[in-house]
Order: sequence, then structure tokens, then C-alpha cells
Amino acid sequence: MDTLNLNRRDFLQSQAALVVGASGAVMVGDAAAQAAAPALVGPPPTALDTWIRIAADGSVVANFGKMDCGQGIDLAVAQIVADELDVALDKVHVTMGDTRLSPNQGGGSGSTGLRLGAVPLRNAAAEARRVLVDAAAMKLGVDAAGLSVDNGRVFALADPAKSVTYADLIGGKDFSTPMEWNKQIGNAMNVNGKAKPKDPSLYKIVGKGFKRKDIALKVSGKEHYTAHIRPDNLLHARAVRPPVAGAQPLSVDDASIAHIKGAKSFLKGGFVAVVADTEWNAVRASRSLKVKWSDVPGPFTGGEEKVYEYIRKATPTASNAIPMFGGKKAWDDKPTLAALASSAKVLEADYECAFQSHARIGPSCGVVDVRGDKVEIWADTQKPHFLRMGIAKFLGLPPENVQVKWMHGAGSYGRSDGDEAPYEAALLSQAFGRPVRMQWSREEGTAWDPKAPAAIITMKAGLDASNQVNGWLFKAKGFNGWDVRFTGESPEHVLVGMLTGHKKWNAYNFNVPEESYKFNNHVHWWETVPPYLQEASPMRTAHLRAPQDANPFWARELY
Amino acid sequence: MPTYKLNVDGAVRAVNAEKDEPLLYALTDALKLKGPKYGCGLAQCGTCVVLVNGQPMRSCVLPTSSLGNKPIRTLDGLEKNGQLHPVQAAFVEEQAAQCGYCANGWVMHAVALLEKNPKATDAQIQQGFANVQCRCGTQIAILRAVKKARDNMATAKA
Repeated sequence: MDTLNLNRRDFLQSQAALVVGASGAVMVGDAAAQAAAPALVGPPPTALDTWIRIAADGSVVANFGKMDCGQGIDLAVAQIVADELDVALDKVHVTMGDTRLSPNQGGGSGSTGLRLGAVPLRNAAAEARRVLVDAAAMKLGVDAAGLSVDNGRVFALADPAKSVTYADLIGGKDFSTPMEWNKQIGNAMNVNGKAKPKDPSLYKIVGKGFKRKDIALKVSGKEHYTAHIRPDNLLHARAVRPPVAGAQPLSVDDASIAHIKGAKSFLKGGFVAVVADTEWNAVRASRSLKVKWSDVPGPFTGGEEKVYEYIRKATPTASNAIPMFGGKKAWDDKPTLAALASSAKVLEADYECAFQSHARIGPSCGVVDVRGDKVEIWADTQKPHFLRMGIAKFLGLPPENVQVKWMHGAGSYGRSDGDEAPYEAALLSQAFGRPVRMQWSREEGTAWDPKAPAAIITMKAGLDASNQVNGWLFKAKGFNGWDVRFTGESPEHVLVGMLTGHKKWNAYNFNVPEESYKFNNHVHWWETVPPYLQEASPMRTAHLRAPQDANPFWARELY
Repeated sequence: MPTYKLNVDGAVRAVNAEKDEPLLYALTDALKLKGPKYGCGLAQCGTCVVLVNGQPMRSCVLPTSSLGNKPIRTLDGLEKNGQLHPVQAAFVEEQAAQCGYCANGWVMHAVALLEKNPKATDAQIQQGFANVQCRCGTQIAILRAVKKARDNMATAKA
């Protein structure tokens, strides 16, 4: 049986099938169902050591598979781990978004950082404490029930002098304790051990305010942002964008940058870039490079002033009564329209919502070192583990060979340009055989980053004679909000991928209000319209804050 | 490429830079400083600010070749003998940062403002950060930190 061809659906339907798992072992039944878990790259969530380690000096390393956008989430995770382990807060060091150290917990996503992301760490810390107390029980000859822990020291309640520290018990060594993993990758990932977390009444650290570690570093020029990573032998890169979106580069004139020492051009598909040994020379070269662009009509016919006319006139590409990730739901506006027709008073308005740039204060920056078939990436994307998968695919390399070190970066609030420069740096590093630092300009960060979609939000409410709402209609008609997915997990979801032959996926989404209003005769739905430019558009959309919610929220609050 | 001897945070630092090269790149690319940052390259956001003769200057548009030996002060050099500058300490006290990428602009402007006008009123502080951007929305906490720094520095003097 060729297991490489056996997809998950076939596999689950064939309960009695013999399956050869990744290890080569032949499994049947339940064990075979275990093998249906999604493919993991990186440290296994099934090992306690993946989540919690005790260093030789007794300090604690907690590996978090999410990252910080500026909300100081690592402090909260440290508080939770410190409380569960009974160690001092300043003894806990939380790593973030490092693909070597942490499993994919979904990155910065969906406001799940604590309510989902911290849960496996709390469980792992509780389990680590249990294992350490059991080890102390053996060492001290005291029953585990007669032991407590303070400041990383396990002591006998009956005789506190009888004690041993975490450092002495395990410092620098592996736990080798298994955790039960719920087979989820991303936000929903969780693990459980035999231990249960503490009752909140026992918290000493959680529930109190503390200072973040990174702010003191950030205000004194000590924090490492992506922008600071400058390995030896570094090549600096800048992209060259077309004067009209959709124009293709027909040729580049290398003579136009010959006067800039070390400057070289790069052209692949629709992507043009320059590299140089110093950053300023890369900037100069990007401004000097003469490119012959194809003659295309500007795609944004009528410009900004005509956006809403375009939306009103366009034939919808998709529609739904709920977001697409919720499934398909039909709607019927007739009862609501009838209720509105018979209302004493109708309040209606159209809200014209513009495209929004994410416009992070630091435009996209990425440093990538491709050495043969091994890749090292420094990036501040919200989704480092997904970036790793996408760049591996983009370069044609196994994901195990590609590592991302997440760094602090400019704050972001959804899918920003955070993945773009890393992908471009990867392509250039593979081509030039040196580490490459790609920095987007301000112009690129505002013009070419993913956008929140422009839309017209229509709302109508009917009031009866006693001013009760007896009919409510919400309709959003606008650009698709899902031109690129939530992450840089695959090349077709980043600009340089689209420019080098990876076609945009065709999936549509917008959003409607949650059912927080209990009105009779209410209806809501959305319709999406065709994009101005199908591939590699500066107006390609993604989620700014909640998916496709920024504009609807604004409209609803005004209404 | 010419060599310039810059006076950076009290030390003479030699950098090779093109004649038109903005100081930002000399400081970050050549000297590997971390304080000043690239936010726009157009003098619009303030992330690149350094002090030259006590004045906030946008290093992203200031040619390296124009500095001569004028004293340049950066975020990296504010700390003295392991002690944070009172403005930095106030930012830490008030936790006045989210992503922190913009902090350089606000801290350096605040240092310049309070050195020039130690008795700056709340209104003068509020007005003192034209074209210094923050995209995370930390402005209120930052202004609180600057006012606290003013008060702490006044107390220290007294």
C-alpha cells in the first residue's frame, strides 16, 4: 500500500486499514487513527521539554508558539508559568515564534494569545511542577503530598529545611515526560499532562501588574528588531515597483547602475530588485535602475472618486449571509422589506468605506540566509511558523531545513506586509548566495501592503408607531476581503509569489454583524465585486483587525 | 567613498559614506546603532531622530557629509554608567510603549524639549511632538511619561 497517496479522508473511512506510519511501524485501528494527525514540523508538542525547560541555574525557559505585537503577551505567559511552577517571575524567560523551539500555535491571531495560546503552557508548567515534586519526593524520602514549592525550591511542609531546588533536580537536563496533544496545529493546539493547573485562589503573580522586560530595552536601543539583524557578508536589497500596477518588466538596463559600486539587478517574472553591499547603495540603485515596463492601462479606472460607483455597478462575484469560514447560509430580504414598507418611519444610510492600508510604522523588513538547502529567516511577521512553510515551498526546500527566528518589529493588527520582505529576501539570497536584507520603503509599505477592502455598507431600520424596531436590513457590497489568506503559508499569498507565477486563489469573503440585536424581521448579507486587478495588486486585500470587520464596524457605529 | 569622522555620543567614529548618504544609514548600517530607525525616509514620522547640538534632526534626510564634528546624540548613548536617562526611566515607569518601534522619536524629542525648557507646561509638552508618529496608539501614555520625566528631573535638581 502506498501511504503517500492515502489522504486523510480515505484513511479515516477505512478503519480496518493497515497503515504504515511515519516511523515505518505498521498500525491498526486506534493507533492508525493517531497517524492521521496533521504533519508536524519542528519540536513535538507531545514532549514536555518542547514547552518548559529548566536551565542549569534553575531559570525557566517557556517556548511560546505565538508572538508579541506590542501588547506584552510574553509577560502574561511568564506570569502564568511562574505561578504554576512556583518560581519567581524574573526567573522565567519566554521565547516567541522561534520555529526551532516552539510548535505552531498559530502566531498572533484572533485575540487567542492568552485564552488559547497560554493554555498548553499553563498545563505544561503544571505538569513540570508535578514531575519535579515527584522527583523531589524520591530524593527527600517524603511523600509528594507532604511537599510544597517556593521560589523553585521543593521543601517538606513538616520540615522546610528538607529541600532540593529545581536546578539540583533537573537543571539543564530533559524532562522526557510525554504530554497528550489534541492533534491540532495553530490556535487550537493544546496539550495535557497528568497534573491539573492551580486553582486561581492560589495565584500570587497572575492578577498583579508587572513591568514588561522589553520596554526598558526598546527605549534604550538594546532590543533586537528585525531591522537590526545584519549578518556578515550581508547584501542589502530594495525592490523596484512598476509605475502602473500590472505593468510587466520587459528589460532592465544594468548600465544605469554601473556607477554604483557592487550594485546588481535581479529580474524574475514581474519582480525587479537591486542588491548592493551597503544599504544606501541599494537605495540609490533602486532609484537609478532603468526598467522598461510594459504599457498597460491603469487598472483603477476613474481613480479614488469612482470607487463607489464601481462597487454599485459591479456584478457580484460571491455572496453569503455569514462569513465564508462559517459555511454557506441563505437569506431572504422579502419579510424585512415588507416590514420596512409598513413602518411608521424608516432610517436608512449608505456608508462608503475606503480601502485601508495597514501602514505599519516600520515597513516590511526581512533578513534571510540561504546556504545550499538550509535557510535561516529573521522576520517580525505575526505568523512565523506559517512563513516558514511558505518560504520552504517557495524555494522548493523541505520545511525541516527552513527556520524562522521571530524578532520584534513594528506593531501590526492583522495581515500586514510582514511576510513580504522575508519572501523577497529569500528569493534573492538563494539567487546571490549571500544573506540578504530586504527593507521596503515607506512608499511600498503604504502602497503595496495588503489592504482592508473598500465597501458600501447599507443599513435600513424601520420603526413602528411606538419607536420599536420592527425591521432591520444590513447589506455590505464591496471588494473581496480575502484576496490573500491570513498567513504567508504559501507563495500565492504574497506579492512576490504572485509576481513569479503563483496565481491568486479564488476565495471570497466579507462579513456581517453578529446576532447581538434581537429585532423581528432582520436580514443581513454581503456581496463581493470583482477586483480591479487580479494578480499582484496593490489593492489585494487581507484582514486588518478582525477579518473584513474594520469597515462594517465603523459603519455600524456611525449608524 | 569618502570617510567622515563623526562625533557620536561623545566618541569620534569614522564612517565611510557616499556624499549624499543620509546619516541614518551611516549610524545603523556602518555603526550598527539600534536607536534611530527607518520608518519613512521622508522626515515625516520621527523614528530616525537624533539630536545635533541639542536639536532634534531627522537623520533619514540629513546628509552624513553635512555634520562635520557637530555633536550627535542618539538613543543608544543616552544611558550613562548603566543609569537610564530620566526620560527613558519615565517611559519604563509608565510602560509607554507597545511595539516600541516609534519610541526613538518620542524619547529624543522629549530629551531635547526638556533640556531646552525644563519647566515646559503640559500644553507645551502636548504641542512639542509635531510629526512624531505612533501607529499603535500609545500617545497618551507617552505624554504621561514625558510629564513625569519633567517632574522627576525638576525634583532631582531641587
